[in-house]
Amino acid sequence: MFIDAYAGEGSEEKTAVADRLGIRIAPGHYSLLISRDRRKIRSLRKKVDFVAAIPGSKQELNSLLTDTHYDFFIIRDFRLGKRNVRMAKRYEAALAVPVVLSRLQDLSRARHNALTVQDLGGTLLLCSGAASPEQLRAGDALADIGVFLGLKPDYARKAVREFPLALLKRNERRKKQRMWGVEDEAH
Amino acid sequence: MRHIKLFFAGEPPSDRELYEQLRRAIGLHGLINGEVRVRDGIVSCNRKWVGKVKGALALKWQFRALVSGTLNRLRKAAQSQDQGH
Repeated sequence: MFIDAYAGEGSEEKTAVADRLGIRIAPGHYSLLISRDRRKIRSLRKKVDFVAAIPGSKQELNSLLTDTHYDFFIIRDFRLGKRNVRMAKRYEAALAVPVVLSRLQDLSRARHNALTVQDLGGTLLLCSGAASPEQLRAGDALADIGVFLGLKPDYARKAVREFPLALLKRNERRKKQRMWGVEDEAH
Repeated sequence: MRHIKLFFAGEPPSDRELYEQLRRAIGLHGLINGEVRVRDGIVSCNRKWVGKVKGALALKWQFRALVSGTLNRLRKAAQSQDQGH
């Protein structure tokens, strides 16, 4: 099952196109809350499948990364640094890179970001970030774009299939916890 | 060598448009190194370049792809797909 973790703004038309392409999208098939307001995400965390933010700079990303209520961060407007990826690994957050871009020039940034996450062993999500239903892509196509950008084929496929699925499973576990991210095990 | 038949969601682009997109995305050297050719709507390339070529085209278009090592089998499979839809 392929998952596009961030397919732009949700619409019924997009969901219909995604069904035809054989990919599940958020928002659409899954609920996605994008907000930088920490109070808001804490109150709504258990009601949504994914919680994300679109940071505007490296510094803002580092500040948001310390909040474990976030599942992933959409990296669109800046180039990731090594410290960002290392912090994301430490806080077990994924980094999503939109790859269906209208300008080829933006691809250079997407390529840098995707390769940085891969090289440092972070969790990458390849997403379309589609502005319209025409910009949605099938799961294989998203993985192929990743390969085109220079990712290893296995890793590119994981970025569309295993990694988003792992986030969903983790959230299911966490929803059962009394406090978000605090495991309560009896021994 | 691999041959890729593309089924586009909307109006299919011409061979020229496919070639131009590939040249813009992977560059002339990429086309030469990947042994990329476009003929009658079928893109042929080196086996190791299939992912990159499909990725370069997926940047611009929505499509389904059939990939085969032999042109004849690909044409037959494409024909049966066309008749099926």
